Amino acid sequence: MGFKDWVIDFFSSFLIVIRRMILLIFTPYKTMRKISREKDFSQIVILLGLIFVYFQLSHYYRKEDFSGLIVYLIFLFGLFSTTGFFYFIARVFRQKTTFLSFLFCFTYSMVPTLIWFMSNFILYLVLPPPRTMSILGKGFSIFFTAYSLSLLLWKVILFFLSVRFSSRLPFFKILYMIFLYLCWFVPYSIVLYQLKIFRVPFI
Amino acid sequence: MDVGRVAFQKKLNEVFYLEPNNLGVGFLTNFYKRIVAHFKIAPFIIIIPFSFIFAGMVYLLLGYLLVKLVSLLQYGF
Repeated sequence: MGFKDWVIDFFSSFLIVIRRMILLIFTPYKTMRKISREKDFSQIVILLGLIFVYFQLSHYYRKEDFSGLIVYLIFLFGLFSTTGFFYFIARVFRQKTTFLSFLFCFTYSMVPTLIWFMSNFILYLVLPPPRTMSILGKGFSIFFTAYSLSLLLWKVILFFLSVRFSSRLPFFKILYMIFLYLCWFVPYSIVLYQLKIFRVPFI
Repeated sequence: MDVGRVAFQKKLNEVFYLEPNNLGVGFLTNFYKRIVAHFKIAPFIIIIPFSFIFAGMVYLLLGYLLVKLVSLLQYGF
């Protein structure tokens, strides 16, 4: 495959990623079902590339010891650990699952996280904290809470669908898997917070 | 005709890709299906009003603490 073909493939994958990011807003169920059958690695590279750009940008304003690259590598470790964990548990319950399906779904489920962190970063520059008790301060606080909660609920839906379509397990087994996952992920997040790597877990 | 059959077969494969969820108890399964149906297509129609109502209620309950929490979250990027 020549360079020209590679560029065309890359841009078509980029367009698919943008299209799916929009479709995940309107038809999360149908879109996640398609994503779980995906095999185009360029899409993962593009999404992880966007997250890498965010970490590099935010690093200039965070003023902390860890470089953007180290924080990004820790994020990658978390993502692959999560994927590996769910894949392993799903294999215990059921034989017919693939690691790729989990990887694609979990990478796409990072979209709400990326949007929240990116918008929070922009808001930090435009309206730097702390907020005050003025009417505008209160109004912004209510808006920001509602905005964050909306993205969190969207994230929960995508996360659940990721596990559902990748593992193809029933509801209670998925709940059990998520409970087991939180058993190690919550202490892991607290350790990262104590080390001042992530104030809010990049999940 | 064959094209139509292939498309129909493809659609069926998509629909039956997953076994339907069964929570064990009839009314629970029905309740689950009713709730989940709203989240399959355009979930933000429900999520956005719910979030604003919830945020307003939290502000009425916590007041200044919510403003402080938002300040903390803004440092969380």
